[in-house]
Amino acid sequence: MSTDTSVRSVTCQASPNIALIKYWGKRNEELILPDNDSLSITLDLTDMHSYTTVSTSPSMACDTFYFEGVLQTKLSSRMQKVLGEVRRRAKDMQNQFVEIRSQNTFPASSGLASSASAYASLAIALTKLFNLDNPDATAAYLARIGSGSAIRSVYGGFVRWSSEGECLSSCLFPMEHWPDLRLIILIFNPSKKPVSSTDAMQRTRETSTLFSARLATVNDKIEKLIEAIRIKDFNTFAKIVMMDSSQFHAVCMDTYPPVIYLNEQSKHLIDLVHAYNKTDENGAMKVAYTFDAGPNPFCFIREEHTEEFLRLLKYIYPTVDNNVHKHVANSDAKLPSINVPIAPNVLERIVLTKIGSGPKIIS
Amino acid sequence: MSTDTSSRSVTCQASPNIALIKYWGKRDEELILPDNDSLSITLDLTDMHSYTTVSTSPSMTCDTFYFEGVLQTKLSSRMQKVLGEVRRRAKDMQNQFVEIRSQNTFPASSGLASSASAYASLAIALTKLFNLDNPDATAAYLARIGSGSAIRSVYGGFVRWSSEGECLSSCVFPMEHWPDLRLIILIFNSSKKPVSSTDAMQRTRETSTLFSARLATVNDKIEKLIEAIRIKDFNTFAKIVMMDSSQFHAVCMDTYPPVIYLNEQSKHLIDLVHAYNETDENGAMKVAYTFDAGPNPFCFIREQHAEEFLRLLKYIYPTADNNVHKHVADSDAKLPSINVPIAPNVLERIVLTKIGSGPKIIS
Repeated sequence: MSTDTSVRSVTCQASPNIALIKYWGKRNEELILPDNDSLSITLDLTDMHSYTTVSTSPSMACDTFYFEGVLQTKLSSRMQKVLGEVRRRAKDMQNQFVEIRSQNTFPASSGLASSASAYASLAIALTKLFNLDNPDATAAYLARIGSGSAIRSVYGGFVRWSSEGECLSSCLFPMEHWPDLRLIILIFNPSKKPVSSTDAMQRTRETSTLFSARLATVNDKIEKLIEAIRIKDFNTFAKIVMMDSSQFHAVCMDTYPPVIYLNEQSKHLIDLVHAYNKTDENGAMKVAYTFDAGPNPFCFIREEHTEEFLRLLKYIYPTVDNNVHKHVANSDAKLPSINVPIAPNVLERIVLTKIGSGPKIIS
Repeated sequence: MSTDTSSRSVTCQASPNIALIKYWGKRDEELILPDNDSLSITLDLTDMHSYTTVSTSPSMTCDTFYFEGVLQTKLSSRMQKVLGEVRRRAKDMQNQFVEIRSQNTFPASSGLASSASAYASLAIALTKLFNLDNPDATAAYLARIGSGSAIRSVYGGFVRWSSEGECLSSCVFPMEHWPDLRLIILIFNSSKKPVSSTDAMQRTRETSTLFSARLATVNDKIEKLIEAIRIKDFNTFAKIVMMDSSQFHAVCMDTYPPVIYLNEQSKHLIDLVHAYNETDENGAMKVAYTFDAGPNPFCFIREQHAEEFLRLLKYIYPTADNNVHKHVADSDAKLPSINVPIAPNVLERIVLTKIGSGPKIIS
């Protein structure tokens, strides 16, 4: 701890976001400008977030970065880019250095990419620490050049990242807009190192014959999804979200060499959700899934169906050891008859969470 | 066995075919007219084939079908369609019945769809038995209305199924055209019942937003592939075949609900092939994979690389119990350095085979 009285520091917490319409493909690598608009939900801080403390003092001799408390030997090129941009905008930082300390409340193996929440918290903390102009736009810009979709984690609620003009993000609907919407994240037993999505999305752009057909569908899809969210039409919301997830994974498959993120457990969960949705006597959707660049499903559900679905999950994944199961009574109530096999020993954890209100600055 | 001297019978053997450019989607369900041209290689009869004996005699009182020696309780609607068409074309069959006996030399669990070889052998046998006019075109037509891609198994070598005009098939290059081309089929421990491809391809047509983009690429792709085969350019052949396989699986993924045929072992083999191809010092392709509506890979390779690749497969899949491994010496020769994990207990069998000369009529 520095005893220098001119140490200033800011801590920011930010959560990951789950993309409803995926970002995949950059039309500009340097500035991270995306090929298409994307839409996401920012998660609630309580259940998982990154927190980053940035400090500066005249006694610092170089930029340092501590991740999970461990001093890193060097700063990544993305982080250097972010700091370079901060220095470009903050005259008084020219001759100062920063100490960055970043941590996640969720493990790396959780399948939830932490770069979005980490860079969002870093961007906001730096913007605040150095009192940069236009703080909202500046933090968004810094988050974007740090890690693309981190730009969506700088706001809470439903967030859109534009692919045109300044390519910044904005909050479309606040957290309070759809109060009974919940998220259930299934974390399968981790197995493989994830493939770098930066390289993979570039390969998709270069080799996929179906990629431009995807781009042609996105704007219309986003408008329809925004309308569905506006009127809280879960059926339409569910269908669009599931189909965008599949289309994203389709263009990944259509990449050369193919990029395949889903695994057997992903497929099993897809079957489970479709079978479960069919049990509604009115044909209404109860659950929607989406998958990012990894095998873990992110499910959307309304509060009224949560207990029934969690009971079903407990039945299907009997060996998972987690807090959520404790909240779900072993019930005699008839589970919907679902013709999907039980899958022991594959699910590590279930996280039940909700939409969050966005980053929080502490001190 | 009938002792009636007016009993006549014909036996035909036909092999499965492996699609290089896939058929997926019908623009006419009744006549099975495909949305796009497809191209395939007919396999060698020796290693696997279906054989069908059709007999007719005045003493028969109904159509009967024996599959693998077991009398079936009823004929499938497709088979009835085939017989109906034969009756329409053969005046002297109007008041006669047939006995159909069909068998496969390869097991149903082999992952190789037997309907193509079965319906091809049936179509040719019926055409011969009833002396139908224009036997080539007629057998092709009957095979097509029986089971779509069976139309490609009525010829040997490289076969094209046209999506225009009469929608028949033709031999583009005979078996002898590319004498050193080989096929290696990996049969994984089968686990699941396959999804009906008729239903699945219909769903793709109805729900996939990327399907029309696939259709727009096919003709150009086929022309390039035919040229590559013509000049025996394995590099181009390999790339087109692998990419069509991926594009096919991509539109399946883009279906609602998603249709996912590949599994972990499929993905592992994909990684293996790409890693193996990278070991060529000139960057030349050595192996190409393609996957049909199932997880088993069909690999194309030239004779000169077959032993090295089989040795690699023996190393990667140490527990596969099959004849092919016996032919491959445990050799000290250095295996290419491949960073793909060993996979015990997943591979049931390897089949090494080659292009075939087409169906054979016996008796």
